[in-house]
Amino acid sequence: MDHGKFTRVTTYFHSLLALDVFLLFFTGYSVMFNDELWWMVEFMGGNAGVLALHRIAGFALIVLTVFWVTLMLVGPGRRKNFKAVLPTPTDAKAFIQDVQFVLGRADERHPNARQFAGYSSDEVPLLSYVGKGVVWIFTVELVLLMISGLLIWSKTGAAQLFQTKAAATAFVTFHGLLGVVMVMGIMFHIFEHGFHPAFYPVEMKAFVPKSVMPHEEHDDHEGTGIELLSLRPTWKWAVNLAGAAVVIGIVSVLVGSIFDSGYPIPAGLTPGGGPTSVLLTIGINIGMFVLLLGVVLSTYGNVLRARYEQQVAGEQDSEPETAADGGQPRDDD
Amino acid sequence: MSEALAVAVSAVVGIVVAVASVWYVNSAYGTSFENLYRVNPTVEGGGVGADYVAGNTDPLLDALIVVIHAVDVLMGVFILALVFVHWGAFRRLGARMRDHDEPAEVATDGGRDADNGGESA
Amino acid sequence: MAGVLDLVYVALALVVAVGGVFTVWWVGRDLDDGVDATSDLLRAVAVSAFLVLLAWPLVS
Repeated sequence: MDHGKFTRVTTYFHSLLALDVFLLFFTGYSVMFNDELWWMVEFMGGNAGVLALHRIAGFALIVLTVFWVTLMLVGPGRRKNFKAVLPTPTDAKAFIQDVQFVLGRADERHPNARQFAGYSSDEVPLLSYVGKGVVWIFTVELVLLMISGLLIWSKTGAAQLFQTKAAATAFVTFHGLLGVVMVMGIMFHIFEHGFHPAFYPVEMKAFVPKSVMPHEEHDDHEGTGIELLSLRPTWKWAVNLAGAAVVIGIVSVLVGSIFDSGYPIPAGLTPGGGPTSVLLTIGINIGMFVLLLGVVLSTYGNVLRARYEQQVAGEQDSEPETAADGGQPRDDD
Repeated sequence: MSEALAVAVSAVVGIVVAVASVWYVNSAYGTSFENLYRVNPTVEGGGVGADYVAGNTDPLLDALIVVIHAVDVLMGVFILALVFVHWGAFRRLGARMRDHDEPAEVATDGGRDADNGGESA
Repeated sequence: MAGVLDLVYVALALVVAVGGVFTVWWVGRDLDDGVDATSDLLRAVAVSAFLVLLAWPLVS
């Protein structure tokens, strides 16, 4: 299970945010990629139903993010987190070393890249370079998406704000294109935390609070000790299948977004939402399947957490550790 | 401030800000349909709905869309690179781990063998 | 049909994606991780073909 990072509040926040963002993706992109995802619109109550769900989820997103920012400001011991997310030159080194590691020119991943810390958990910082990037990109994206989403919340308001219906729909398109970075990033996030060989099928750090993480003393071991772990037999095909699906999903959504810029009519008259192809339809649907996999893994993580907590009921963790959100590890017990 | 109080305060702030922002955009911008598109045609001799003939005529919006396309592509390429770096790293790390048949001493579910029950039971 | 910039974008995405799946095959072919190198290569070819054929009707 490796070292703990999230406090109890963070595990709940992460799960709720994930469910909400997945709902926003499913409702929003079934509208933007309507040529490819028409069945999703039908499935979620037609046009009116989808847009109502999207607004409800958007409201929940504002509640969740404002909750989180406030907690970071007023919560005990959390303000140091603002420092922990600042990128450092070491993070750039970690990325370069990751590339070298893949190409066989480095023996280990850099501590700033290590997801599985194992025996080296003292060297591993609060956030990996990817972790920092995720926090930054998602923060910028969520803020821009919430602001642009609020501006088009009222249909008549958007029309009035942008003078013409065409300009208003162009702004709706802008809102959709803004989320493309986020949807691609989430697909990567699902792959990164679902298919690490030591954690497959789901990295429990996001679900088990660090206050109940098992903690063992281990001073003498060289390296992370990953070679002591047993690989799940299904991993070797699952990682390649998921990798292929994630790549197809990302490229499809990206290519789709390039050509759906005309949805419905921002720059010139291109009714129908731009060109499509059978494979693009399949590809974008594969992307949605990757997102669905994220929902399943997130739920599975919570099921495992519940099971694990039953198992260790009564036991107490002994050593306070630093957490990804910097909270007091014992406060929420 | 204690953890529980901080969580409660943050939750209240979150709900208040969300309600206020949605209420604000609906009251400040929520015009009646009747008041729209009566007097702002964008083409010669146009009238109600004539703007659909012209498409978007706002250069700032066009520029925003051009910029966001470029951002999407650049970030997409970067994210793809990250996927491949992790995919390759996972394959290397996986090759270092024990095979399923060998006995395991440590398991990712917190101590029990991953093979004989544990989290997949 | 498609603008020049769109073509550049699509080409860039395809080059990175196709290059990446083949890099993963190339990295993995000597590894002792139980994955058959031939089926790994077939996977890279299949993913690449899928992506190229996906984009082709849009840009041609």
